Amino acid sequence: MRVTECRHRGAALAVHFAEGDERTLDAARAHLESCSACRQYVAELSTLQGALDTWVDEPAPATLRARVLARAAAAPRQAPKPSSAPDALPLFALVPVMAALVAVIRVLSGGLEAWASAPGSEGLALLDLIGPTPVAALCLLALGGLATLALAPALFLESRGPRHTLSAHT
Amino acid sequence: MEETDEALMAAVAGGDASALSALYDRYERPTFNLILRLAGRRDVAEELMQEAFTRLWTTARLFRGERGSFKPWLFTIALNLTRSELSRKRYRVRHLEPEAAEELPALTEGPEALAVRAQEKGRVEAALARLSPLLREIVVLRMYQQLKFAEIARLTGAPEGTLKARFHRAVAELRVLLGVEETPCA
Repeated sequence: MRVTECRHRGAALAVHFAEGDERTLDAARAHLESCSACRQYVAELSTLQGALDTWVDEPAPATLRARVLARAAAAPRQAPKPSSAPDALPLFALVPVMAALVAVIRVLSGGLEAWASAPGSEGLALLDLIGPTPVAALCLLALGGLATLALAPALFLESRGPRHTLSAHT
Repeated sequence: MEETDEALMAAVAGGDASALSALYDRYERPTFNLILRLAGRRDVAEELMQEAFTRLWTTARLFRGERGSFKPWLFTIALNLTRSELSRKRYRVRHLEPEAAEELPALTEGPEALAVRAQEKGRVEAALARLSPLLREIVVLRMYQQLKFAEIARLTGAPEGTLKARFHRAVAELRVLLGVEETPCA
């Protein structure tokens, strides 16, 4: 029988390289006692190792160390990973924003009220129906919507811009 | 007391160039010879050594320093760079058919030990160069770097059984290329 026909030729590797736990090695040795093909294979592996060992480790060129270190030093280092959490606006930063919005709505509703009660004004049905403050809020919302629509093309182009990604090592 | 590889890597991650030098000194020879035996060319090995240690320097922050994990990490970088380089057409070597092994110089015994040794080394180099890259890789990692199959499996991501099958094939080819006889047994 040739070793290629032996289903247990892994035993030859285990014995040749002394690789595996004691139980595996004992089983492998036991197999080799009864399998001359695997014993022969172990002998061939030793011969082959001997032949391969004629190519001994070669020293690297003396100048390589300096070249390696210089090239590494010149390379840009990878920045630490940015936090995966989005940049959140601190909660306290919302207070002045909300205050500003309320102030704008109050001014706007005051203006609307003055306009509606002015002599000769025909008024606005919606003002009579829901009051000046909600109308002012709706106006502000409409203005915000228009501004978003106006900026949409620019925002879209920005999101399609070049992306820079860091490649993972090898 | 000598610092561990992992401690040096932590220093490299912090930008300490002297830690990189220390790691280079520690791993120059095994890494250089790993690449050299896989690529078969000194100029390529020198170039890839520079690239490997530059990667090590620039990506040090990605290293997770479990004990004993540095060497496989460095070897993975070196192996992947070499694979990438070998996949380029200009480095592709043809797989030798068994008949072509006759072209290789024969092993000789003689008084000129150095000359014989150089000739034997040349035969081994030529034989390894004629193995397909995956077979050459398993021979280099197991028989030269002395890594266990389990370690090679972690390093390459290939199952241990696949690696052993490749190893058997590589042995069969090297046996032909180097003239190691297979004797049928009773």
